[in-house]
Amino acid sequence: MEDINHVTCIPLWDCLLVPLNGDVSDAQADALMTEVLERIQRDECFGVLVDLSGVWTLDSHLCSVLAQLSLAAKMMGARTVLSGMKPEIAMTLEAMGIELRGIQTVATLEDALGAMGIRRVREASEDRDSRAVRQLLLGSVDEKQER
Amino acid sequence: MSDDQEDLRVPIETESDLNHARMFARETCKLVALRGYKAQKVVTAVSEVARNIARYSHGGEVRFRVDADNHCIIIVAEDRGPGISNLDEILAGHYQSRTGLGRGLLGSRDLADSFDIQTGAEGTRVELSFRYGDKAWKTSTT
Repeated sequence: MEDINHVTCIPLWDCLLVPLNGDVSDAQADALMTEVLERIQRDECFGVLVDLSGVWTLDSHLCSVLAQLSLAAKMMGARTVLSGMKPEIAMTLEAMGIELRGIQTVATLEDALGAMGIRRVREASEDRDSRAVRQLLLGSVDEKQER
Repeated sequence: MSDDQEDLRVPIETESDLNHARMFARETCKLVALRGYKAQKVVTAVSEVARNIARYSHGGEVRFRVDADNHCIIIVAEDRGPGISNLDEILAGHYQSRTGLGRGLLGSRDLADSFDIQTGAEGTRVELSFRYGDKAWKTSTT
């Protein structure tokens, strides 16, 4: 049976994507720290992307764990970026005077990937379509020639 | 019926009870249609005071009550000691806990609309109030 405190770590090229969801327990926060640091060493990760879009509440303890994680990851040569913090959570942390110093935070996961130097490169759809048409036509020409 | 009998109670012994306390806080917010930032403040403050009980005391409980007359949620976190010896230092923002932030009690004070704390060797009692709805604030517990 899967451990209830299991933390999902998704390898993404040379980075690690860690989506946090729901009500993060203290046990899960501890597991997060251990799991991510082990994966940084094992998979030789260069960056850690912690996505908070699914997190319900961020209290001072979880902030402290994220700050410790960021610092420990940095010592191991990996950069940590937090993304997807909800406005109401950001406002609550601000009201409590929590600054998350030393951790880079960005609005979206896309921004986090960008911060790691990962960018989207999409082939122009026109090129793709014309190539597909050309393949079809050439295919049909080849078939006729074979006959 | 006394107020205590109407309270929802969540016993806090260890840090694993915190999820339960936060769940009750969310449900209480839902009950009075409190959403977004206002609900987030309630849940976060509950998490902070409940953690203080789990980490520093010999156990206790968090109680939730909706005061419909005054349009406020009242949360009482009470433990069985040993009390907070450096309360002034904590509330002045000069204290840093072993986890580094030391913002738990101070943070819950900053989030609540009213905050009251009584501490002694027998235990600590923290009372927090959060307004909801548009009704003007009539009472203060401090």
